[in-house]
Amino acid sequence: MSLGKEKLIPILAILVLIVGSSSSIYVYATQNKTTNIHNDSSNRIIIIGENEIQISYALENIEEITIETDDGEKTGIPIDELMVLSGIDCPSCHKYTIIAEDNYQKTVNWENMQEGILTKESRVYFPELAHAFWVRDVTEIEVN
Amino acid sequence: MNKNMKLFTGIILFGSLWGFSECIIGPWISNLGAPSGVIMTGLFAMIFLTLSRLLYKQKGMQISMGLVAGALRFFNPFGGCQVCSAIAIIAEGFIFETIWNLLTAYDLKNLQTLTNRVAIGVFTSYSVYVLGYLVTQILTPISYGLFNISDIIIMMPQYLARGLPAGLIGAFSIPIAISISNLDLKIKDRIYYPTTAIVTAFCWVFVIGNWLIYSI
Repeated sequence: MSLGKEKLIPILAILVLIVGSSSSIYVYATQNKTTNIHNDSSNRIIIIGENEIQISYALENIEEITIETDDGEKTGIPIDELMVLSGIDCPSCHKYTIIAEDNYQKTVNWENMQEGILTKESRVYFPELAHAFWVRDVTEIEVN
Repeated sequence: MNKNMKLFTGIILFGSLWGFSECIIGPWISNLGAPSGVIMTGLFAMIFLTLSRLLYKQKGMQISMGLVAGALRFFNPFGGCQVCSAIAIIAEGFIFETIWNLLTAYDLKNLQTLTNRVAIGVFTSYSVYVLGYLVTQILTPISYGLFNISDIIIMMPQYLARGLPAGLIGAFSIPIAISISNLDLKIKDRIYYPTTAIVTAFCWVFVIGNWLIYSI
């Protein structure tokens, strides 16, 4: 039994190395693809529902606000107003999945959207939620 | 009684050191721009957990250490959801102990070769990091009533990839911790207890003091 475990340990190590390496290759390949689409941050476009909105356009049309977070003050446009600008019907009727360039995503509800902001750097901040919800490099807000 | 007391103080000591590193050293590494999660798990957690297991040889010790470190993390309200971070640390202690209970014996019979020491380092560190991270990613949305399974599934390749550096660090940290535990370190009781008390008190006072300074 002990001898079995002696052989099992290197096999398990090789297994996790294979899983970790192949996942890294997959992530690298898919990230490169999306980065090529959205590499110009100044003219970044965010897909909201079925529409596309340029961040610079949103900044021209929505007044920026500053909110207090546990990581200091953050300035950006209120996300609920961005939803209205993008023409979503009944914004309070939906949940929203915020998707980053690397496919990281978090789903929030309308109450959270009303407290959140989107910065020039395309990062969302929700002062009442954990940092895991502060998605960086947002490329899409899916309306569910 | 004496053995139980030694074990209890050992749990508090190693748990406090682990919690201290998570609360103070982790954010410091993060501020330097380094991947703190990987370093904290692959280096600090693996060394404290391995050393404590091999020095005290008691079942349940690493789970208990996780409880102590998680409690200390709970007193450090930086970096978002405290409950989730505390539970993730507790989960790491539980995962480590489960793996080592299943794969190793306290006499290290199946860890005599360097190959196996490196291999258990890679497997343990990778598994603890990936599963611990997954626990946080599941518990954080649950605690806010915002859990969505597709948010987790779509990120699985990322989670599995992020464990690789932790596994590689574990290939060094765990063999080093095993070598340190093999040194004949005998500390007399009259030195052991005061030293344990001083180090533990330092960890708790520093973390709580740090929180008070930044929250005022």
